[in-house]
Amino acid sequence: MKEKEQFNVNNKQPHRDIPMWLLQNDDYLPQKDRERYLSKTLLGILGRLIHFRQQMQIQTESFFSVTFKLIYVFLLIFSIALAHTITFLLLLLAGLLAYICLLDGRQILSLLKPAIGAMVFTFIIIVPAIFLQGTIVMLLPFKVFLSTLLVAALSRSTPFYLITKALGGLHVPSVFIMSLDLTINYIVLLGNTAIDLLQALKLRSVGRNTGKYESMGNVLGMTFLKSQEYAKQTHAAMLCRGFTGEYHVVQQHHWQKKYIIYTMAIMLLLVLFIHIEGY
Amino acid sequence: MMNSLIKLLKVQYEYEDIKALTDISLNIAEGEFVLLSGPNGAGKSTLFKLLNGLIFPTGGEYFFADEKITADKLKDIVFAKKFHKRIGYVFQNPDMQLFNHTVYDEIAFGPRQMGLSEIEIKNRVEQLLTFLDIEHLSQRAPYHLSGGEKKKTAIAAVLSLNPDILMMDEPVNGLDEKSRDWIEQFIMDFSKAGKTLLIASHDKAWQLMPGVRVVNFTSEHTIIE
Repeated sequence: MKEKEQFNVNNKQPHRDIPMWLLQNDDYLPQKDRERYLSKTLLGILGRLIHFRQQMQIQTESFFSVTFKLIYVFLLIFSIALAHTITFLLLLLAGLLAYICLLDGRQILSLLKPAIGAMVFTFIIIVPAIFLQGTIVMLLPFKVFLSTLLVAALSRSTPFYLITKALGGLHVPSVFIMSLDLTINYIVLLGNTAIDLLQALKLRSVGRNTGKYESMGNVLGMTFLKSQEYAKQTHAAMLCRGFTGEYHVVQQHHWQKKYIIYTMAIMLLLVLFIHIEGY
Repeated sequence: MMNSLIKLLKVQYEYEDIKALTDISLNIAEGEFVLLSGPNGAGKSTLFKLLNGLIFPTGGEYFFADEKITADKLKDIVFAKKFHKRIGYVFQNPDMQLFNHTVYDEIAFGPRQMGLSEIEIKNRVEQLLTFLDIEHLSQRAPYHLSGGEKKKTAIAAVLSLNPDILMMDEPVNGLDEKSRDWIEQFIMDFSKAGKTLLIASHDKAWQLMPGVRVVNFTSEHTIIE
C-alpha cells in the first residue's frame, strides 16, 4: 500500500499547464539539407572504436609470448633500418607474405592499407632524392612498407593492453606505460562520448541546420570538456587510492622450455642478417 | 481504437555475434503509456536505439506510423528528419545529449531547424522553461547544471520538437529525491494529457503508476507482457 501511495498524484505538487502546442500535432514537412558531414564523422569514429573493440577480443593464447613478439618485431625493424642490400628485405617480405596468406581478406586489407599508405607517402617525399641520388634511395619506401606491415601485424595479433604490459618486462619506465594505458582507455571513452553527442545531434537535426560547423564545434567542445572532467576525476580517484607518482607494472617470469626456442629464433635472425649483409 | 504508432514484428538484433534483442513483437498505440521493465543489460537501451533508427533490426520488421523503417528508407533525408522529429528520445545520461552554449539555445535548437519564426521559437522556449520550472537557468551553460537540471533541460530540448512519442531511458537514474518526484509527476501529467510515452526502467516502483502498461524484458533479451 505504501508503494502505491508513492504514485498518488494528489500527494505531489501538480505541474504547471502543459503548453497548448504540445497537445496538438505539428503539420511539418522538413526541408532538404546536407547530412553527409554528420554520417561521415559518426562512421569515422565508429570505425576506430570497432577497431579498438576488436583489438580487445583478439585470442591471446599463443605459443609466442607478447614480450618475445615485441623484442622480435623491434629487432626486425632495427635490422630493416640497418640493411644495405635488398636480399635481406626480400627474404623478410617473403616471410611476411607467407604469414599474410594465412589471414582472411578483411584482415589482409587491414594490414596492407596502412603499409601501402606509408610507403606511398614516403615515396612522394623522396621523389626529389631519386633524381639526385639514383635508385638506391628507393629502398627507403620498401623499408617503410616492411616496418609498417610488421607493426600492423603485431597490433592485429596482440591486444594493446598486453603490449603495454609487456613493455614493463622490457624495463620501459612505468609512468610511460601508465600514460599509454590511460591514453588507450580515454580514446575509447571519449570516442563513446563523441558518438553519443553526435547521435543526439543527428536525432535533433530535424530541419535545415544553418550552423553545421557550429554544431560540430559544440560537440567537439563538449568532448573536450568531458575529457578534462574525466582526467580530473581519474587523478582524484588515483590520489584517493594512494597514488604518489609511482606506478608499478608487475611482471612475473618463470623459466619455460619455450624460451630456448625464442632464443634460437633471435639468434637465427641475427646470424642471417650478419651473413647476408656481410658485417 | 487508437492508431498504432509503433509496431515491431519478431525483431532481432545482434552485434559481433552477441544477441541483444530476440523475437521482440510489440504494438504501441497513440496515447499509450508503456513501461519497459527489466534488468540491466536486458536490451532496453538497444531497443530504444532501434526505435530511433540509430541501429536496424538484423531480423524481423519495424513499423512507425505504418511506415516500415529500414536503413535505406532513412537515407531519404526528408523522411529521416520527419521521422526523427516525431520521436523525442531523452538519453539515460543527459550529459551526452546537451551540446549548446546555453539552456535557451539547447531548447531552441530543434525549433530553429524547423524554420519557425524567432517569435514562435521564443514563445516555445519560454513556455517550456516555465513548464519545466527552469526559467532561471535560461542563460546558463548546460554542463554547469546539476543532474536534475540537466535532465529537465534534455526533456525541454526534446519536447521543443513537439514529438508524437516521448521515449525516456532510465529517467530518474542518479537523481535526488526531489528531482525524481518531479520527473515522476511530469510523466504522469504528460500521460494524462494523452501523449504517447515509452519509459525504460529497471525500477519496479514504476509499475505501480496509474494507467501504465508494463512490458517486461527478460535476461534472454526478449519481452513478456
